Parts: sequence; structure tokens; C-alpha cells
Amino acid sequence: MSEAAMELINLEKKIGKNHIIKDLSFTIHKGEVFGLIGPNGAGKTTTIRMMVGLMKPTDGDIHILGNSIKSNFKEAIREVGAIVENPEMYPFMTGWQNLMHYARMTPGITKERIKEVIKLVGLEKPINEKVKKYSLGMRQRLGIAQALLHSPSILILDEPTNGLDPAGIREIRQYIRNLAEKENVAVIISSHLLSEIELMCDKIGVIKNGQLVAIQEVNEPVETEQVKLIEVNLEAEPIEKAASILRNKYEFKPEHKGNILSFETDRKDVPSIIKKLVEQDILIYQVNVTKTKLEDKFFDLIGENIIE
Amino acid sequence: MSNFFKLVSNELIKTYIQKSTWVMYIILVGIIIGLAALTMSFEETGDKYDQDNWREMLQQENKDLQSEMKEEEFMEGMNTSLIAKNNYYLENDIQPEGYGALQFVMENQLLLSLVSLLTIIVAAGIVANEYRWGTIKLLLIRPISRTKILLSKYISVLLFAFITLLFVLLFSWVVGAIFFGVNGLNPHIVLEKSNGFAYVPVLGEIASGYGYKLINLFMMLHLLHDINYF
Repeated sequence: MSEAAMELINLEKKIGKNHIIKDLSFTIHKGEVFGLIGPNGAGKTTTIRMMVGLMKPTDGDIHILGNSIKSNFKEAIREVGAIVENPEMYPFMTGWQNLMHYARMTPGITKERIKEVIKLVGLEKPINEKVKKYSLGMRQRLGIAQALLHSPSILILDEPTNGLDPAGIREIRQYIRNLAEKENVAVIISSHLLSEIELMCDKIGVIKNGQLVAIQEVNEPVETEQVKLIEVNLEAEPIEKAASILRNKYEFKPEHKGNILSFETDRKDVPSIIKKLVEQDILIYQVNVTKTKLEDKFFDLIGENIIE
Repeated sequence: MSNFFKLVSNELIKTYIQKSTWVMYIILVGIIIGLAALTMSFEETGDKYDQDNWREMLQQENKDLQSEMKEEEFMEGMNTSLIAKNNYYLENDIQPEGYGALQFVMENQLLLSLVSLLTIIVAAGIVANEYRWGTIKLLLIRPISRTKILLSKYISVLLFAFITLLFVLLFSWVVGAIFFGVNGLNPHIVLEKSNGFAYVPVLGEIASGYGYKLINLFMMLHLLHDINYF
């Protein structure tokens, strides 16, 4: 495993009597996209606010490339680019003026770099319009541009795909993957959209009530647990005949969902089942397999969403 | 240090891009032009004392003022001091100089309380608005300490006050020059001071008047900033 980019060490946060973050420890490595998921009120935003120094931890520490955020704030935060909560910008300034404003706050950002970043997020056209005329998606892109200006080693994005259209989400996703793989940037993403996180991240940390419930590698095969079955959806005609074959020959319990049969089986058996059905003169229009077990897993982990 | 300079210029840019700041300046322009027009129509400003008969003119003026006082009692206070002033000119044998741009600038000292008001509006918003827009988060996650960011805001408010004051000064002079003409480089006038009348240069009066008001303004801002900080 590569070098650690950010380390959370026994992080604690109490506000009044509320114990918001309880003993949170994990490490994010360079070139890794880390997803932080959890239900509302789990402490995602609090954790991110502590990562960027907007909140002081009650106890514990955060190290960014070895620099403590408590004692070495400037050195630590220099390597971080972030959007916290919504991408808010000065509404009365143009996109360009906003970026110039942030560029002036960190030494060594050239105009070329700003143009490069604008091109990356695809804001060339509206960059000279006032931000108050921007849509949420455009503001989100400007927020990402702002976070990338100083070429940080760690990028922290709170709900980065919020308000983006599908094409925009795809672009940003590809861009984030690219940053991690080619430029070795550690990316931390918080979201409650599981599918989104699953597509973007290498590793997922699940938070519930301020505690880390699980860390899951995305590409880890899901079948490691006793669940080796996958769900197969089959559109066939005549549907009754297909159902009876499945029931009698394989002892499945196919469910009817309109004209689609749904049943669970081992992945390696799928071709032979299809072959059998075709041999019995059944017309098959489509077969698909639902692989997303992450969502189930997520709900197993967090249980019901109760805000305490 | 250049880094801090950039922070201050950031704050100034933000202040001056906003429309509300421009509205403030438009109000100032309107008031200054309005004052010039008022002065023009109510006061006889020309070069009426230019002739050799300025003594007779002053005496005539005193007589008019006295008769006016008898008719309308409420004019008494003002007219008495005007008469006293005219007498001072006569007693000391000083030829009064005409009303010009610099006199107008001097009278516009009273606008400085408006400048204070505008500066306080800017100062009150400079931190609060960052919270309102939510942009404070993006300021605080830069490798710059909070103290430095607040200090840069404080300095930029001081600069705003200074620029606005300079604007009032210069714009008053320009408007004064257009309306009343330029009347010498440093004319002198008689003014009522705490220890009676004195014959003083207008430029000196402008410098001390604006200077004291500026100190007053800075003191107020400092107080406001301290409150802001906590």
C-alpha cells in the first residue's frame, strides 16, 4: 500500500452533551478514492469539517501528509482542496473573479493554471458570467475548480455530484478517477448515494452515530460471505412454461414481476439454465443480473436510519 | 507580506464589485452636486467684494441684516454672528475673498459623518456577509490564519474609509470649481473660533477638519472591528 495521505487518529468530537464523533480512526492512502457514507446525522459533515480545520477535534488528531492539523495547520491545510457542504461562491462576482480571488490566497497559482482548471470542469463558456446566474450544477463545477486550483494532494468533496446532470456526474466521476490514478491524489467523497460511491470509490467507510461501522473495499468480491447467489431477471415467453421449468427442474422459486421472472442462483449456473430454456422453445428477450449487494450490505450495517 | 497585501486587495475588490458600494458613491455624488446647487442659489457667491468699495458693501450688508432682524426675530442669532464677522473684516481692514472651490470643500466637512455611516455599513457587512454567503468556509480552509484574514478585512475597511474621504474631498473640489470657480491657491477667510474670530487659511482648515474627522472615524471602526471579532 502506498503512503498515507490522511490519518485520523482516535478522533473525538463533543458538542455540549452530544457525543458526535466517537473514536474515529482510519487512514486514506495516496491515489485512493475514499467514500464516506452514512445516514443523515451520522457525522459525515462533522468529520469533514474537522479534516479541513473548520472545527477543532475534542480529542485525537488528524495528520495530513504527516502534519498535524492541530499543531501544524498551515502546512497541513496547504495540501488540501475542499468543498464543504454546498459550493458557495460570491454571487456578485463572475466565475473568473471568484477563482482569481481564491488564487490570490495561495501563492504560486498562475493564470494558466486557472484556465487549465476551468477547462477541466468544463466551465469555459459561463466563466465570465456572474455566479448568481449559475445553476447548481455550474456552481458545483466552480466549487470543484476552486478546490483544485492549488493542485492539492488531498481533495475533499462533500456530495460532489449533487445537482449535476447525468453527463456531468459521469464527467466528474471520470475526472476524479483520473486524478487518483494519474496524479496520485487522495480523494475523499461523502455521499449518501450508494450507487454513486460504488462507482467512484476504491474504499468505503460506513459511519453510523459517529462511529466507523465498517471499511469495505469496493472491488472485494461480494460473494465472500455465505451469499453466493445472485439475482437473475429473465424476460421470457411463454412465461408460465418458463416458470414451471425453473420450478420443477431446478427447484427455484421464481417470482413474477409483470412479465419478468426473478430468481436466485449461482452465477456459474446461468448459461446452462438459459440453454435449457431455449431448448424447451422458450423465447428469451432479456436476461440481467443484479450485482448490487452493496446496498443490502449498507442497510445490514446501519440498520434503520434513526437519528439519535 | 505580499501575501497579506493580496488579502487586502481581495477584500477591496470584493467591496468595490458590489453594487451597494456603487450606490453609496452615487448618493455622495448626488449630495455634493445638490449642496453646490443649493449654495449657488441661496448665497451670493460672486466676486462682489472685488471692487474698491468692499467696505461700503459690508456696511450696507450689515444694515440689511439688522433691518431683517427687526422684522423676523428668529433670524437674530444667525444675523448677529454674520454682522460680527463683517465687523471683524472692517476693523482689521481685510478685504473678503470670493467664494470658491476650496471654501466649498471646507463646508463639505459635514459630509464626513455620512462617510462614517457608509464605512460602518461596509465594516458591518465585511465579516457577516461571508457567513451569509457561506464563503467563510472557503476562506478559512486556506493556509492563512483567522487573525490574518480578519486583519486584512480591518485594513481594507480603513482603506475604504480613506478612499471615500479622498473621493469626497476631490469631487467636492471639482464640483466647487465648476460651480464657483477656483479662487486662488490658498484663500483666507474669517471664521468664528472658540477664542473669537480669526483670519485663517482655508487649506489649513480643510486639513485639520478632515484630519480630526478621520481620526474620529478610525476610532469608531476600531471599536466596531473589536466587536466583530468577538
